[in-house]
Amino acid sequence: MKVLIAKAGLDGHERGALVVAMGLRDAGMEVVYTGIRNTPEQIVASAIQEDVDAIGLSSLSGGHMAQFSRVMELLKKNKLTPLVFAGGIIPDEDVKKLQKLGIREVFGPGSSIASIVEFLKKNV
Amino acid sequence: MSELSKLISRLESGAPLPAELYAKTGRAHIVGITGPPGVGKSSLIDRLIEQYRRAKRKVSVVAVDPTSPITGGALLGDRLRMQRHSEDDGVFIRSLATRNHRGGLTDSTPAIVHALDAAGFDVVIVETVGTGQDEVEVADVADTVVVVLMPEMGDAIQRAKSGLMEIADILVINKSDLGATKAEAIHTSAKTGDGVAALMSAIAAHHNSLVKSGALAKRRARAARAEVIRLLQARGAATIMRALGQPAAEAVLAKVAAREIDPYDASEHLSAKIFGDAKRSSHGSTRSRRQTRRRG
Amino acid sequence: MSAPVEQPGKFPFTRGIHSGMYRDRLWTMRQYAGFGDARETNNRFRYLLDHGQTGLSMAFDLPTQIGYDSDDAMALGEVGRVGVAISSLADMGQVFAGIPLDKVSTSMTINATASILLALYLAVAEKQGVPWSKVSGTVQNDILKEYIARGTYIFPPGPSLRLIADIVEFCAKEVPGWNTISVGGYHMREAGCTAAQEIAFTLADGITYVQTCVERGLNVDDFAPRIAFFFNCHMNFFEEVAKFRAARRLWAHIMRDRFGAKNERSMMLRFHTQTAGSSLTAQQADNNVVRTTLEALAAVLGGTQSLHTNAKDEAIALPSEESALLALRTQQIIAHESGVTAEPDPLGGSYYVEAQTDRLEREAREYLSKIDNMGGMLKAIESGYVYKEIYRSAYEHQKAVEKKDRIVVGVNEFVSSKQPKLKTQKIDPKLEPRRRKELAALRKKRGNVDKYLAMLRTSGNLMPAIIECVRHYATVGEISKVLRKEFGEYRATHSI
Repeated sequence: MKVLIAKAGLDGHERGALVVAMGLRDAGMEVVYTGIRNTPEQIVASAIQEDVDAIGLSSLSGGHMAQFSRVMELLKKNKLTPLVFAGGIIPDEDVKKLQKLGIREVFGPGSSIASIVEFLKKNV
Repeated sequence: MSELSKLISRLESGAPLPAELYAKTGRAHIVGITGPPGVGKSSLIDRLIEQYRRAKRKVSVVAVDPTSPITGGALLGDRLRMQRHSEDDGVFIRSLATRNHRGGLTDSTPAIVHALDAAGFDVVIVETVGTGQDEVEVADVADTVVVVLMPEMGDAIQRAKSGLMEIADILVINKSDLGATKAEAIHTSAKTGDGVAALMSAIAAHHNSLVKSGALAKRRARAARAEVIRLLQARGAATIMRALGQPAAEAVLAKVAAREIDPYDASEHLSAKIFGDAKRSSHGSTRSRRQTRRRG
Repeated sequence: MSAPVEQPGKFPFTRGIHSGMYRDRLWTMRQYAGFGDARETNNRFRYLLDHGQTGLSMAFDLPTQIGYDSDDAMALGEVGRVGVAISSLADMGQVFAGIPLDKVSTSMTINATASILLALYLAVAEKQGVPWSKVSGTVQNDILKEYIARGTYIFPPGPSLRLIADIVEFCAKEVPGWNTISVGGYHMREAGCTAAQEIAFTLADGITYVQTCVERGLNVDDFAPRIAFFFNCHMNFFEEVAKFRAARRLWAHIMRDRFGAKNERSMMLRFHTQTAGSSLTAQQADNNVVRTTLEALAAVLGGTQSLHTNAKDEAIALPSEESALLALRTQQIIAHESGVTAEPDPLGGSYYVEAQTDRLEREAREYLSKIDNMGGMLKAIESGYVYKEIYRSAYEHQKAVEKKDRIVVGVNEFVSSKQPKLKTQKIDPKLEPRRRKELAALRKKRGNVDKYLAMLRTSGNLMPAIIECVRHYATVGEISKVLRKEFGEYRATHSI
């Protein structure tokens, strides 16, 4: 299984994204980590070239609605259907909105790597 | 882009290269970039892409990283250093995990390089980690091999002993901003961009000299041979594994484990079954070794 | 049991930088705040000051920190989210409306654009009629940790260090009450490093800055007293107390022995502390009040000069007014009701705390040695060594939590199925469009500022030019754009 882990927007806190990336690697997955300050366009272009099965989006600065919805829009435009999940600081009321956009699951603070691995194995 | 990407995924899973594509290959300049981890290969490639794009050349990159032999997973972090090019239609970057193939590349790398060549890229860069004798496979695939080191890596002459130096067409000392060395090489700094234009020229010059001297054809013949051999070896291995799965073969293996027959006799026997070797031909040495052991 | 040999207020200041510590003066209660627009921030500042906060601590949004105006394409979705949006002198003036700058000290968490925000602050003081000699505060101005743990860098290290030295040099002459660098370990600790690494990496950054200024030709005693530090305070109570003590001891020796400082004030490690954000949980958020209290107490027993206590909802949003108030009250109760302020370094002499102090000093020294052998902290950062150390440590922590080798109450043990809904701070969705309008109007009103921006192309100290630019309402984004062209942009290359 191949997964893209990306941070959109200007937020530079990488701990969560990196810990998840390392955890997925140790669970046997191939993980492409593209660092911070990715635009939605860069994220989708990477997803295309890497032909990933899943995309994990990380956001801590509150810009997730604008940025993630743009990612989903671009994926749709390119007719791509990887499994998209998100993590970071995302208020409860936004979780439902993101799910409506097609983001299957949001892993908030305190989520375990094991739960993310299980989710991916079950849904990809 | 999407079609090409999906084709690469199929090749990665072991599918053969579509026959009609191979006829379209041979145009691209295949550049292998290898060297120990941490020297800045990816950052250097990022700069090279910038230069190639300025010259309006289309560039693709195959970035290979090792699969963990324990977990089977891989962290593919080379792309991060080239990410600013991801939206450029003239650039295609693909990260691959070795999936426990030894030698520095993946099983599918030759096929993927062909696919990118056929897709019209002027340059195909294959990036791999190379530290010693083992990781020289990139030489079988590339027209030009660039070995990247950095200053203060110890005696440059020491490096000459390693297989890496034997396959280098161009030697680069990156991170030149950190210090000077006397090695005869191209000195670059991916950080500042110094030396990258010179590297690109050197790669082009090497390509020209290969073409002019006829060496390119020889190299490509060697690469084709190596590729076919590898495919044959893979077939052979697959055949062997299939055969070993049979109950008759299992019975032979059980006898070896019980020390009723030795592995050499077992392999002779199985080989005859799988490949139809004549039993008697060149096995004399094996037999006498066995006899010697009994007496010893 | 014999009294310890070290004394508070005496070199190497292990037991505190003053002989009386809180007996003579309490630490500054400085709660980090700022969000949305200047008006909202001004309201929150005045609220906190009215309720007894003694210093201001200002948070900026990411576009401001990274040199983009609120109407820049790169700012999409980020305006006013993690702090206040400041693009011009108009905004900055509004933040401090009704707050005389000679009566408060303001700490600004700003790094790559520290020179611009400091210039704006000084321009506001000017407008208020307050002379720069009466102005006091801090700019974080600590770029090295940005490259590895926080991410709000703009320029490559060389030009960034030049800007830092420009600020130090300028303030030494013009703004003597200003703390010009707050060298931070907080963020690296949040990113996952250990207590010993927090000390070592922070002091290593400090060494680099001092070195830079010394190479500029500045006398160490002329600027070192104005360098401050910023630490985390995490949950391992006695280890954290020991950490602060070990850090003070180490820095004193570094300043005296390595840099030849003669003034004792150059050797004193003065620091602000923030309780650990990464220790807070989204689950059972009330538990966070308990965590913050323990951490605040450890920071006080560790001798901090200034303290921010996190609010209970800070794991999931910017704090509401109520939770921000409770966080402030936590400090006030410790200060006025607990009695721990009666004696400096009350835990000094405890076998356990002294042993922990010595251990952390030793471990930090090993890291510092290693970093020296790599050629200094900048080289260590650029080689990827520090990045790998921090995030591999973070991963080990996560694995320990998932294996339950580490217990986090409410998360992997003592969980409840019921999660009470927390009222959280929301950012007005109309803010971004409003900011766009404001900036368009500002640019129209002020006219062309190119002749001021042209002054930025100097090889001398940039502060005067930047101040002139902001006086004439050139914006944060416009100034940063010129500097981006001059200095280039840093490209991240780190990976695990």
